[in-house]
Amino acid sequence: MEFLRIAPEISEVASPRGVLRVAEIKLGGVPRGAVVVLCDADALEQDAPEVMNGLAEHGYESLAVDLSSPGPARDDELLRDVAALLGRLGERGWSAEQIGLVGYGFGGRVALLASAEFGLGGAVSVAPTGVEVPPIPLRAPWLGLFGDLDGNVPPQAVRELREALDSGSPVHSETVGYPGVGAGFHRDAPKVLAHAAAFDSWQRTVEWLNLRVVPAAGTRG
Amino acid sequence: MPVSEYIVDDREMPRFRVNRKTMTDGEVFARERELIFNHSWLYIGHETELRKPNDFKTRTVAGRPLIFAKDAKGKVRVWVNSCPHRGAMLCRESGGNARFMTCFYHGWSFSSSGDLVSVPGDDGYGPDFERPSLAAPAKVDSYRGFVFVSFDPGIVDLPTHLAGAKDLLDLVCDQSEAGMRILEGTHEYSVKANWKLLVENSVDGYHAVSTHQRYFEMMTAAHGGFAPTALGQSRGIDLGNGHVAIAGEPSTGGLFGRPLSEAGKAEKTERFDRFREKYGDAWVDRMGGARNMVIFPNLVVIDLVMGVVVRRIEPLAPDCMEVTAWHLAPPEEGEELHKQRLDNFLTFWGPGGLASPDDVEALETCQRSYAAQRELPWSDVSRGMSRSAPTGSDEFQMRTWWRRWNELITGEKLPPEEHAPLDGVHTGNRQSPDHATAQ
Repeated sequence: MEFLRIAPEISEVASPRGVLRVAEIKLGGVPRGAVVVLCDADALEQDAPEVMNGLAEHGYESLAVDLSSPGPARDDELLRDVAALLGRLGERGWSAEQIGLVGYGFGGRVALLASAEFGLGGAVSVAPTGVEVPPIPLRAPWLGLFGDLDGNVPPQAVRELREALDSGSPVHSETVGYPGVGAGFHRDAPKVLAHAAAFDSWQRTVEWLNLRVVPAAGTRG
Repeated sequence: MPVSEYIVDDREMPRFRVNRKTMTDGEVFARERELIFNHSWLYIGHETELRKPNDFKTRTVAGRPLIFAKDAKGKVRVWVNSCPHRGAMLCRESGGNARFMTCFYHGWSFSSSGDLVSVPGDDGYGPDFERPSLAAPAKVDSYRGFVFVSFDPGIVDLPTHLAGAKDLLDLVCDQSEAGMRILEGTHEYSVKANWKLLVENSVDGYHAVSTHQRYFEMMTAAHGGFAPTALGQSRGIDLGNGHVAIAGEPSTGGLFGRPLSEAGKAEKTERFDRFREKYGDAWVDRMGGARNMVIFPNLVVIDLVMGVVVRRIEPLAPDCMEVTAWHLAPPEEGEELHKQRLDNFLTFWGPGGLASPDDVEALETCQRSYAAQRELPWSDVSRGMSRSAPTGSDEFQMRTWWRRWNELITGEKLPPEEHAPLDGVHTGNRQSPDHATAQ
């Protein structure tokens, strides 16, 4: 049986450091909320359609972008990129609390930084490439999903981040470590631990948003 | 005045007896639910269990499924865990963090402030349809972090209800400068016995050495000797409104737990020296004595000074209760003292420890034997009635609790027993009212 898949529209969003190429899925009716998807470096085509369709199944419109594509940028520039993407969603009527942020790899690191910058409904970082300076305090509830074999962020670094966020941040945050996998575990794979991590990380991502992103009144559920 | 069929309070002999029907009868159980649990302040949880905004725990209190939560602004809230639409439970987790809860039945979403925020197919309701918020118990209040609810809108305020129990809670709470906190993790177990048997047991010094022989043998082996004689010098105390306690002499706080190293002892002494500066000797001497307290009807706080257990008893049926126990601890304590606490929580109070299973066995055999209540209808709770100063090994505190129970169930108000007033060790106050941090 063929399931309906929505092909994202490609458009552009202007940011102070240039034009960002974004994929966009708009939904009819009254969507549940909106999500900004920050893809891993060079993974917009590979990941965005899958993630965005998954979000659409739960009622979320989305915008996806690869923030590494315009070239190297400082953290403050990356955060201005995120602000520009939130501005685009704002034009569609979404307030910050009605927006979730999900980042993978390179985008996962930016999602953590953005959690301290913007009062979003919720944010998720999947295998962020770094968590070196915890951005405390967070403003948005943040979920961090890590592969235990990911050399960029080993389990000890996750524990230190967890302690820093617990004591230094008023909002709720959680971290989860997946055994037997490195980065990129959000992509399904036949090995049992890889499949488990892909399945569980997606479940947690959606639940995190559903429990926190302010729903638009009168959603169809 | 009505005369109770459940209690015989004979001051002449003297003798105090409780009819075993109180432990088995479905009608008594229904009257308890209506006359006691629907009109009391009932403990639901501790504020420190909810650390961040939108944290929640689900609890059953007096049969009601409740959500114990902090809203997005950090205010403690309690909600009925039922969708006002058609009744399904909104939250089926034991705890977590959520700004919104969505009913899985029809998808209505509520915020942690209780407001209905979205309804699928909202256009099916008219423009004037009043969207219901979550229901809540009539009253929610807290005392030094202990949060209580009441289903009676006309109930007296919480501090008035707590009466003399406030003092004992203060003695527990003043053991941390940073604020005592509930440790993560709970003990949960059910007991096939009437809930009042565990109330009695929780303030029963008489049973300790006989029932918990194994625990005391372990203490003897670990310490190279054990002299629980000081326990016999503790006092049974009426705290008012049915709340009762046994409180030990200052030395009793050192009786329990595995032995400490010299460094551990030094840290403990140093902690208590700081308290002496802050609160004065009279208060800290009193603080150093172990205390078991029942806050009427079903909250137990046992403070062995090196470990504090908070235990809530939820009656399920005349012959079944559910027990939830938490450990309250000072967060600033060093590793060894903390380890001693955790050890005691497991080895003494834990459902697999050396003491609680003994109690569960004792209470369950009581309940089974009540099948013979036609032949043996009365339990005796007279110990210490003729003593001028009832000790913790007497049963004054149980009688006091039962008299309150009896008053609420039957309307018969029995006069309090007259005994020698409490002596100085049990009446010491804080040296400065500035430190009275009660809310």
